Amino acid sequence: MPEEQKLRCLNCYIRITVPPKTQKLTCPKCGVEYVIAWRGSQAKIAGPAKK
Amino acid sequence: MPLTRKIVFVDLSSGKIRKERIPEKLRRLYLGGRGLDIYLLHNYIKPGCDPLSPDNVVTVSGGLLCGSVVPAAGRCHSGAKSPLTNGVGSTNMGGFFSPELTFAGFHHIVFTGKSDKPVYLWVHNGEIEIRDARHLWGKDCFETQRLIREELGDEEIQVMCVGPAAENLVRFANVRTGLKNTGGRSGVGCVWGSKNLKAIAARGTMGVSNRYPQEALEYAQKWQKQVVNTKVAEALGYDGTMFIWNVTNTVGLLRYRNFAFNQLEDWESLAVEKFHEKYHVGVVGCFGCPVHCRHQWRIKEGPLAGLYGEGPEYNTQMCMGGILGITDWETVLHGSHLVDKYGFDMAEFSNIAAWAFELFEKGIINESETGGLKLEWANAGKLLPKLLEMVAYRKGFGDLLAEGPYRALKRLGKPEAEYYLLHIKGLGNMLSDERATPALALGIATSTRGCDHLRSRPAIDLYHLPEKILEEVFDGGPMDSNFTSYVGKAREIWVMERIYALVDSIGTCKFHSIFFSPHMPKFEEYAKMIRYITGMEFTPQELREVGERIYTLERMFNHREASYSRKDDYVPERYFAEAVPGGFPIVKGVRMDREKFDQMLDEYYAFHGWDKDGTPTDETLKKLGLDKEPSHIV
Repeated sequence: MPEEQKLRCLNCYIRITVPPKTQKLTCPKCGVEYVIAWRGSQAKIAGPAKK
Repeated sequence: MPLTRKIVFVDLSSGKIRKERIPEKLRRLYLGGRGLDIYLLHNYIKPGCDPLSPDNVVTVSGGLLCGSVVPAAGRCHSGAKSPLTNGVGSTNMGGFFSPELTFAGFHHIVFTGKSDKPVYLWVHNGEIEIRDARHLWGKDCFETQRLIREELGDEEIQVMCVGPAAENLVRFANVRTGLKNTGGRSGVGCVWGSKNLKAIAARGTMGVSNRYPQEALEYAQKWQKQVVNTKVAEALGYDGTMFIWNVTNTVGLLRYRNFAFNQLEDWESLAVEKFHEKYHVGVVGCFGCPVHCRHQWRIKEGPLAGLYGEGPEYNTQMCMGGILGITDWETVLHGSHLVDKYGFDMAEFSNIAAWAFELFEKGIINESETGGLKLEWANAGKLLPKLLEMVAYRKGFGDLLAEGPYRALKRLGKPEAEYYLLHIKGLGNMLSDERATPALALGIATSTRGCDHLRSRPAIDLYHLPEKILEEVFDGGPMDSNFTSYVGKAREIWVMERIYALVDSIGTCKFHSIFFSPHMPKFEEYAKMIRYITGMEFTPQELREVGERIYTLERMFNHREASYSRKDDYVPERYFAEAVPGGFPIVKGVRMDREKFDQMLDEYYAFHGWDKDGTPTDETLKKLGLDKEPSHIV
């Protein structure tokens, strides 16, 4: 089970908590939405979520 | 010891070969690699010569620490007067060639004149031979390497060569070694072709010893740990440079369909995850590198089944993909294979081809000018293999594209076309849209080899690092964490130029520098490694000065050969005129601010000790020991 991680928002730079197995993530500060990819237990930003 | 490696002068007109020791004085001033190569070009080229005449000079070199225990000490440099920009031609590649050249006893080769027939150079354990290459002329870059190994009877031979594009004097022809290692930018391969120089083969067993072996080995191990423990090394080792694309496309920092968009809506089609799923078969590395950032790929089914190669890079995703509006991995990989086979720069090709597509879209050119080709974006993928072949062999419209920005524009004879062509000093822009990133914009505007990011790109500028860390990394301040700010960016570029000049001269990889991570080696580490391996003592400040000297000499070369000055140190007009159309709120709507760009340029010149027109002052030249150049020390 992937552990909880943090990623930095590429728009406003705050660190966002990424719950395990998350596929989409919204920045609570600026509202930008991301698609998340998983490399084993490590989360990374794959791209912007489609509007 | 590296200091025993020699320089060899090969006169291709007469066939005469002269081997010399490299004076320690030159080593102290320029180290080796790119640094010593610009000294040799400045001293040996006939001023004002046509880049494709016998009066041009080609240099090939490994860096000062090439082939040593330093991780990733396998980079190779080749230089000439560029047939694209008329200024510094300088290109750098990884792989295994320059260590083999070092083991064969040499660090630098200087080619003058022109052979009356195709030749290649065979370098083996201190011996040099010019061999007939007429049977290799016309062969592609893969075949050439294979045939030379067969001819010389040794599978371990490393070969650097040019392909059909260089033979046909495509102005952005490159030099290549291995499956994928490419000296792409500035058209140095074209100069090889103009001299009838097809290849260099190297094989050596003359090892490189260290001045302080115990310290060298221990420090190399420490350096290796420092590098592999960074997050970026982990990302590179898994995704290669394609990890960058996830970030830059997400924010909106890339070029699509020339300059129409800055973010790909259908990004999943070109994502690295898709590449991993369908085409990836392994990873490999360059000489002595623990990061192994290079993929190996194979197409397993379909009409291209069996095609294989190394890469792709971030550059490939965009140059064979996004800039041309192509979003299908197999077309991108096929295109990458073809440019490697023919031997020309995919960045230059994609830039000029995208320009042509945009001109067609806007009705500035039509089928009568393109020889019947319908350059519609939707056709780009289908047309790509044909266009690549047309450029390599200068057929039809490919002949115009093969001329590069300056000359293609002149030949086209349509002044309105200039606005759409993204180039600086005659070198085309690559994949990035720098409108929202002033540091990156200043870097490409002032690069000594034209519009290029590898003279100074401070990728860490995009990370929003705390200002205190930026001040530490960039030797002072004020700095601004925000990548859209203009504050502190001139300082970033100035520092990075000196680091990259140093790295290119000692022969290690930029990925082992602060390019991508503030935790990577810097001047202090380089000074120690140089001492342990060669015995030469430099303070970190002296190494900064070496970097400054190399960069300033390149600037002087550009002044002399191409009359470049302040007017040439600007990004294309479109950067100021057009706002970024999409992407994240931080970039959308941004355009370059002319007044702030000018202020940034003034600061940058001041850091270098150049006047308001970008000319090194007499005081600066004297301080760097450049006031007596050309000095002909060797």
